[in-house]
Amino acid sequence: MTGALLICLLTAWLPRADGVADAADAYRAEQYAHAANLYAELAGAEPDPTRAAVLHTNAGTSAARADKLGEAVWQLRRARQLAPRDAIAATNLDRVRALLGEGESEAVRFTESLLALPLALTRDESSTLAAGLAGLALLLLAIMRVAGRGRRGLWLAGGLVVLALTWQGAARLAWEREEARAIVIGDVVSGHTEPDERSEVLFRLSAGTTVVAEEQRREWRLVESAAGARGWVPANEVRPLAR
Amino acid sequence: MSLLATLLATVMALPAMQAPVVPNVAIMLDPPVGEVGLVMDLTLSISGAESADCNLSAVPQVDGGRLRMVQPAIQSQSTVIVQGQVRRSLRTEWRFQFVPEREGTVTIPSFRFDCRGVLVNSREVEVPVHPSTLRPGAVGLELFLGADDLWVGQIFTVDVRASIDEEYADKLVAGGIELDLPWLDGLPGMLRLEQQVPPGGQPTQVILVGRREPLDMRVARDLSGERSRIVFSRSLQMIAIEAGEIVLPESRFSVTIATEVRRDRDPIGFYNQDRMIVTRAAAVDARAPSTTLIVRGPPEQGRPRAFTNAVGTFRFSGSAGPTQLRVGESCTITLSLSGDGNLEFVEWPAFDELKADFRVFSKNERKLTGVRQLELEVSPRNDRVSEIPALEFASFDPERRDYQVLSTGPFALDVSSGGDGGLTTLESPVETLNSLETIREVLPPPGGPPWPTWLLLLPGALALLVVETRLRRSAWRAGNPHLVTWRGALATLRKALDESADAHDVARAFSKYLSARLHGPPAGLGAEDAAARLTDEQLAAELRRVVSGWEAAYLGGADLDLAKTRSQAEALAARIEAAT
Repeated sequence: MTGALLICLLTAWLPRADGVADAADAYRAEQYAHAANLYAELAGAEPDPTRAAVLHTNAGTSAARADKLGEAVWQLRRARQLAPRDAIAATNLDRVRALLGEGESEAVRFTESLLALPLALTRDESSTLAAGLAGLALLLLAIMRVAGRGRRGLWLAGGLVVLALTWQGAARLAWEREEARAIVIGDVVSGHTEPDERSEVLFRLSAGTTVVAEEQRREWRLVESAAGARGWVPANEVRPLAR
Repeated sequence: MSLLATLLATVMALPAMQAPVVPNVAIMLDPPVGEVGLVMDLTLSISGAESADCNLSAVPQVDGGRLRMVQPAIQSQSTVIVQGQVRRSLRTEWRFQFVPEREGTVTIPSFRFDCRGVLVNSREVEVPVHPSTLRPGAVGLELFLGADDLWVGQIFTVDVRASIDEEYADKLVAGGIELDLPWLDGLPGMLRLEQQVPPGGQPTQVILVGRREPLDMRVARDLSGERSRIVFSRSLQMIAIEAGEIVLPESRFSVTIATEVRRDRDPIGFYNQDRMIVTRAAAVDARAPSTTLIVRGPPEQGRPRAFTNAVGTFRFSGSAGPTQLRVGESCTITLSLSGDGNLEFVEWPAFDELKADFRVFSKNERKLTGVRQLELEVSPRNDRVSEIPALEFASFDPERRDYQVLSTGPFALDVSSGGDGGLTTLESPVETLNSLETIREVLPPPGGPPWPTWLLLLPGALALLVVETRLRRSAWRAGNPHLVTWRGALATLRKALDESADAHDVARAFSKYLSARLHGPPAGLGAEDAAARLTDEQLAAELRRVVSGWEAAYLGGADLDLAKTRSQAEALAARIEAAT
């Protein structure tokens, strides 16, 4: 009895080494904003991409429940960058976008998904795929040489190498496009004509909007929305997706 | 001393302290006496050494006349030598047309020049003006407004009707008709709508004051009055855009008529025909007075919810398709608006009635000639949606002074369940939040560092290397059979020497080596036969000697030393290899 009590006291007194448990506790206690902060810190410090993706997803889910939709979109987009086939991150990102009222027509959705096809793999996975295709090309060439069909083998291997290079190029472009973007974090952000608070306001962007981030000048960043609106917004109101 | 120096300095500085030479300004009016409407030539010139630095800074406004520059500054220079001294003279000249507009004495105020900061004025010119010799009512200008009271957004017409007595029509100076419509480009609260010239009459272009582009007008002969007249007409469409008063300023129609001509021989004409040169012309004006328009905003009372800014009489129709769809799929509603009114400026209603049951993906608008089209891409939120509700469009009819509400639909829909991921079946933010996948409390185990990608290239590269090596070796063996046989014979000899138990075995193996190397029979080759096949005499003799020794010992029953026999065989084989 005394021993059990001692163990309970020790368990309560000792600092919990696992921050993930603390964050989960905060989430269960419906302290969503706190949970989001804890998960975001853990995700930033996690070197393993798969684990970091889970932590970013948790941070995004918590932020969505805390009504910080801009933060939620950013965390979930980051999770998808690290683990593109993470179903939970994808589902929650879609639902947060639905909350933001971001509807897309079938045509736009089709075009976007086509352009984002290489993002179904991470950068490392894309490199592995390209190298695998090149390795397969060499193996195929060896087999065809043994079979006495060296010329045909050369064509097939060449085709595979071209495929590998094309995929690698497309993946590189898609990732550059993805990482040039930024998410509006603030609730409503005003786009100005100049990097100056007193300059004319051209447009306003709501939280969670995806923009293309361009140059930064002092505390201001030049952004362009998908609709073509271009102007300067406070740099702390938008967070780039570049790693 | 000091006083003397000051005096000297003052005297030396005297030339520089002289007053600047004022250039000579001349003004000449031709003819010096005018009459109302007479086109008079006014020449302004400035001359003198300093005139190169002078700019005409202000052209005066004449009370009772119009002054118009017809030729900008032209400079001329002349050099004269008088009593051995060279004098240069510079002259700058401007030409104006002056048209008196009233009788009496009209004063042309001073022209002002800026000569490097020094202001120089010309003299004032007083012009005695007599009454016009042209008949009163020679030209006329009338403006007719298409509406008495206007509403914001209402389109109305302004008919411009300018006319000339036909008697003067033949005496018009080239380019002598001009219209001054200062309201043509729009005024605060009013815009002009671009439109083509309506058909009817003969088209012509009339110069507009202050504009480069002339105004297209229709010309027709009017015989309804006492005297026939040439009438220039144009109907212009305007739109009132703000409530309040719009003041249309005075409009003017001016015609320049030749009152005196001179007959002259045409130096270029093929038949040496005479030509008429205008020596005296008179302008005659007609003015339409300023008009004030009152524009009112559409009444607040009875304003429908769907009203935006449409004023006029419109037709509103729509269609939707496809009408069979699943949740998550989209349907396009096409709305068309046409009619008479401010169609081009109409803002579409928000169509909030759609938002309860549909997500509106996009609104695409097309402007066709006389028709506005709006395409709404909508997606039903759930499978209980059975129709697209009726969509309303409201406009204000200025004729009836009342609002008109038009509607299209409802459009029946057949919505079935399903859709992509169930996302679009969500109905409220709370439900969306509740449908979020929850957090993962347990993290996956950390994965190891990624494999170097070049490892994937390794198996293929190795396989290719092995295959390529073997294929090349086979090809070489096939191409060099003698070398292969020789190398095989030597290898066989070495193996046999290693495995031989006595000198007899060595002799037998060497005999087979000789046969393989020197193309003998498979059973072996004797010493004499082998020596006969060698070209090196010394080597042949050595071969005979050694092999004869082995044979003699074998036949005589003597024992041969195995090691010595082996070394002899190896030495002989090495020499044969080298020799062949």
